[in-house]
Amino acid sequence: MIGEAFLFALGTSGALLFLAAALHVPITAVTAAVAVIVALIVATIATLRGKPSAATSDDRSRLATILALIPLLAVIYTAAVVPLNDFDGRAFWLLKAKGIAHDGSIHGPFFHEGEVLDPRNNYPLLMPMNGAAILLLGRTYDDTLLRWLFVAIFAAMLSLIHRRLGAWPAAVLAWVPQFCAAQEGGAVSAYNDIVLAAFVAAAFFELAFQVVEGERPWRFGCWLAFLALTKNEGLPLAFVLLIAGAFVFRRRLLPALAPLAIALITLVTWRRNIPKGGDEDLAVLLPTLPQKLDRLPGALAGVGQHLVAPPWGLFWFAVAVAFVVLSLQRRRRELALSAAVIGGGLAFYIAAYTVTTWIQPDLINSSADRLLMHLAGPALFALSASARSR
Amino acid sequence: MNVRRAALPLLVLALAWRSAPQLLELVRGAWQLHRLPFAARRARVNGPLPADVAKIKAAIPYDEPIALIGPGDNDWPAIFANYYGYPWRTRLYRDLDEYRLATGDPARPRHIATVSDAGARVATYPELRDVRLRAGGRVVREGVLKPAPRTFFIPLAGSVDGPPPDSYVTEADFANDGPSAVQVRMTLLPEQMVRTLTIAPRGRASFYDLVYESFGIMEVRAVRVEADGPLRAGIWYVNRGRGEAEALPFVTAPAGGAFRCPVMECKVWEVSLLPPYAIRSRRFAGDIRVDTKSSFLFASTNERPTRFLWPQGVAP
Repeated sequence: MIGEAFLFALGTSGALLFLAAALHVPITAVTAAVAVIVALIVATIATLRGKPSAATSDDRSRLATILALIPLLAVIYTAAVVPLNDFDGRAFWLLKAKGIAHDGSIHGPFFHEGEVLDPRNNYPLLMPMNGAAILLLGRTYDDTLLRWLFVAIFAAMLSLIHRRLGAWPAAVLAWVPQFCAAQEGGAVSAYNDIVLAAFVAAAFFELAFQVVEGERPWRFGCWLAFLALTKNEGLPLAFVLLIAGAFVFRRRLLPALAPLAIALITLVTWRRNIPKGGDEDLAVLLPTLPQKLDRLPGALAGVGQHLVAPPWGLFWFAVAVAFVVLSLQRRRRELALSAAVIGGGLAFYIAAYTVTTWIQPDLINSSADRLLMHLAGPALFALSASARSR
Repeated sequence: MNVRRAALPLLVLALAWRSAPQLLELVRGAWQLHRLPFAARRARVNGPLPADVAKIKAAIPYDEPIALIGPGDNDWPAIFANYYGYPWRTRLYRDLDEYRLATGDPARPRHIATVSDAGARVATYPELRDVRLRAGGRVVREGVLKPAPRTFFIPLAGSVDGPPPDSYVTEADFANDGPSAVQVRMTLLPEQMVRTLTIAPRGRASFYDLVYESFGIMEVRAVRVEADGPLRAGIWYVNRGRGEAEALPFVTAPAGGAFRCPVMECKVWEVSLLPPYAIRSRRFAGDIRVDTKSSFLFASTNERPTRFLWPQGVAP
């Protein structure tokens, strides 16, 4: 429960601060404190309401819980001693957090090339807003305090999986090398992929457990909004989940659209008023897919290689087996839901790798392991479902 | 049923087979660092950049923008310098040429810091230029050395940059073929800054950028050379960026006369050989005649490659 509440609070505070900053509210320690308090209250209300799904004896396995804690403890010890040394975290995300904390704004000189070069100027700002809040409240520009946020997100995601799927799926997640040990994208880094993975998992569980726990489309919509505001990849993943949500909630999905719409309007409006930064514009590139189909085999092969690469071990192989088991058992709902979200996410990434203007193998090798993290929640759901009887 | 119940524990084991050694490596790395103070840990993990950036910030006033000059092929050291330096104001230039090209841009910072994977430090433009010139090697490698008078003037001794790739230097070689050391005294004119050097018996002194190496400035000047023994010497006015070189004469007496510009526009130079040793130049086209009793006059073309026109009777 606490993990889910933390993730919801994280999303809420980042989104609130982004909305406030977009409306030209100065981002100060006071604003940050108010946003954090409001987010904590909202998250508590949002996660306390509703009936949690029942746990079996397997779900509560003490051995599995202890096993899940071992990588987490290793990550905590590493984070306490070893200074942050990742790439994207320092170059993009935390630099933005410093810029926001310094300028007290997302319209200031930092985002208008007036202070330093911000290499991906128009990246979404949910996590940099949270980072800025920590820097402002901690009265520092040092990343020592800030990096704990990412360790906490790993712990929160483990807690979320533990609560929703059980102790063994949580142990599986804890031991996936890409999550627990990867220097680029894992819990010891400050990449936003782990945040996106946690939000995708949380949004997915709103769909997966809707029958057991009751419908909360507005909360589903909030997770989708958090996705869109966290990373560029979050928006297509939000759409994939939205399509899945349309089948689950049907007309009752409408309340979910409100938070996502607010997030998108705010993001687009802010982006229109700042220099673009150096990233590819997939909205422009994706329509060129039919002309670049000759690059599709390279994209498929590249992603395929990373599904069985060392950072993922046997994880995705086991997920494939889980799909076979679920289909043999004719558990259509679990199979369809998890396969749709994983398939949709993979299809988007393969399309992006096909149309990219980067050197295709370079882009795949530098990002595929991290992007696969985003789909870990639905994959763990499939693993968990296949390991249970109906 | 049992197989299914065992599936997830088995998967945990399989994953741990991969991740446990990596986690152990992380913990071992942390264990090796945990007794060190934070700054030392940061230096071990992040390299010299965080500490170097702190030194740069201490050396340059907070409100002054800094030009971060990168190694050319890689922006990332400068971006990480920004990460550790922020809040500060910087402008990133991929290399010295990019900074050079921004001459005249009011936003170009006055203060310079060079940054690469090896670290970062405050620097000056002439210093960085010199590092590059020194590493690049000479244009005139096997120049012919001629017997030089005991006292002579180098009429045009320059160390200046034009738009990239034009980079002008004076290359020089002095050879002492005799059995005893020769003292050489060089005087930069008109400042009259003096630098002396001793050339060992059968030794040689060579310069890839005579003015900056000897006097630490980037200017266009003249140099008086005085030696207490016989020397062979060669002096060349060189465009390093284009690999072009023109030999310069040993000037010993005033000379002037008529010059005919072979191109659209030329420049006539007047180097006073007597105090206060002024150096003047002006443009001309076609023919010009300047007579003098105390100066040395010559002309140069304003088009590339630079060609020199010497007074009658003077040759390099």
